[in-house]
Amino acid sequence: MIQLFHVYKEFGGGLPALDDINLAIEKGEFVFVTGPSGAGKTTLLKLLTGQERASSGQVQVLGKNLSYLKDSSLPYLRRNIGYIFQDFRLIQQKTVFENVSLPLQIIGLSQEQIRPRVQEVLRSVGLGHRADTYPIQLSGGEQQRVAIARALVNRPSILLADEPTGNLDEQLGWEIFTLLKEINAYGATVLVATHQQGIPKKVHRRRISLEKGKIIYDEAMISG
Amino acid sequence: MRIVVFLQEAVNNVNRHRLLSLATTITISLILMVFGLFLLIYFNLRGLGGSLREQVVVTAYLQDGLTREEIRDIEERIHQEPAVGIVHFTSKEEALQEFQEKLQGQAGILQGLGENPLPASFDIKLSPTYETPEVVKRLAETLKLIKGVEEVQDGLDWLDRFTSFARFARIMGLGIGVLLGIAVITITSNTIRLSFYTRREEIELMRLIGAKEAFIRAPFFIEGAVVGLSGGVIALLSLGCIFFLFQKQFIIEKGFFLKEVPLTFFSFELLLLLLFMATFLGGMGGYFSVSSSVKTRRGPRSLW
Repeated sequence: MIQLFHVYKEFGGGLPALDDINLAIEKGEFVFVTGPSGAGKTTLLKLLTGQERASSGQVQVLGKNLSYLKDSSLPYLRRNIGYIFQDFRLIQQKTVFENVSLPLQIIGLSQEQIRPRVQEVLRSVGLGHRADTYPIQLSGGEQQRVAIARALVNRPSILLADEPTGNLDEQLGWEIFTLLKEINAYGATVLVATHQQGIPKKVHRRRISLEKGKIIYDEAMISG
Repeated sequence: MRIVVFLQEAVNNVNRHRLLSLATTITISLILMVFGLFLLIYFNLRGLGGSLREQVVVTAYLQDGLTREEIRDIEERIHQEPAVGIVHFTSKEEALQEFQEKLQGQAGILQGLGENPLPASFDIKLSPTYETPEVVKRLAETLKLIKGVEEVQDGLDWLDRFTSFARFARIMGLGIGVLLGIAVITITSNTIRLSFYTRREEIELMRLIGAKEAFIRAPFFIEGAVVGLSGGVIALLSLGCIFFLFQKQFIIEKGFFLKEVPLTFFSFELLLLLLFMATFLGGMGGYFSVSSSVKTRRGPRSLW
């Protein structure tokens, strides 16, 4: 599903952001990528969506080698990848419903096709009743759940989460992780980048630790 | 279906930056007005040049005191010239009458004259195949040699000057048109780029969830097109008002000298073409506002 071979990423000057990364993530896995700020977690996620290109080495996602993928083909790859951000990135001028329906609008579905799917996914994240509110009217945890709903509505095979709980307190952080686990249970491959140590250690999932751009620890843990 | 979404998006954007959009619309409409004014002057000058060329008349003024036979001889001599088309004789009396008609209301000027000072004349129109300045000049030279002809006016100097002025105006108009076109694109592009900056995160998000460039740019193109079209409509309406006021004031009421050559406004087809141009240029401005920002995005990036 995701494979990296001897991947380097340099931004010019200083140490490389990623230094000889070798990694294979299978379909349906739930993986934490941990490490302090600046370890290369976000860069790693950006390589997987083609926002950044590797300086050398090969990145393969969903059977596509990103080194050879044209810019014009990237949108099709990204439609199969859900992305969740620390700062949610919701469009403030649009309602919850409109925010979540964006990925479906992009692939050209009609309003009739969009409506039931958005309502269903909003219900699944527990926000069925907030469809017509604006993001600013929601709490942080609710906003992140809207963002998750937006990432899921397209039924992606991969879900990437960049510090999804960074702006939330621990209680809400657990709620979000529980939700991500459920999504994983339905078959999506989930990759969560976080600098927090607590939750990854407790949920017993594969954990990859990065430091200064290198993998210093990669352990597949038995789910518990 | 999609176009409805894009339109909605574009209208929302215009609405979000109401003042800015208004300022751009006005700027564009001013630019288009200047452009339209040039175009209008150019078309009318061209029309005027055409009708003046058709009206090239060589006038041969006769000496006073010629007998009828002498006048008839002169007319026959004139007709022998191959370039000559229609010949019209104006007697001294007719000349005076025409002059009086032209000076309606100011007949007092003529009262002190006593004797009729105006000469009899032949107005000679050239046959269409001979309407070149060289032929006119040669004919004028020949007519001067005829006995009994006092003076010959060919009106060519004026026509020559007019033609070169019209040529100059055409080149100027073309240059100015191109410059103003670039100005419309640049101004729209800059305004819409501001709208782009306020929505940069939204656009990056759209890219990340798999939107194609066309999908992202379409609302910006439409936004630019809406602004361009509004600017175009305002410009043409204002130009129309100015034109008809000018016509009423100077030609109908004041009896401007161009009475015989009616001024023309843009034809319906040209109006449509101008509106289309304004819309298209505005749209291109919107389109480029995104693509140039894409380029800056590929510049230096933050580390994380």
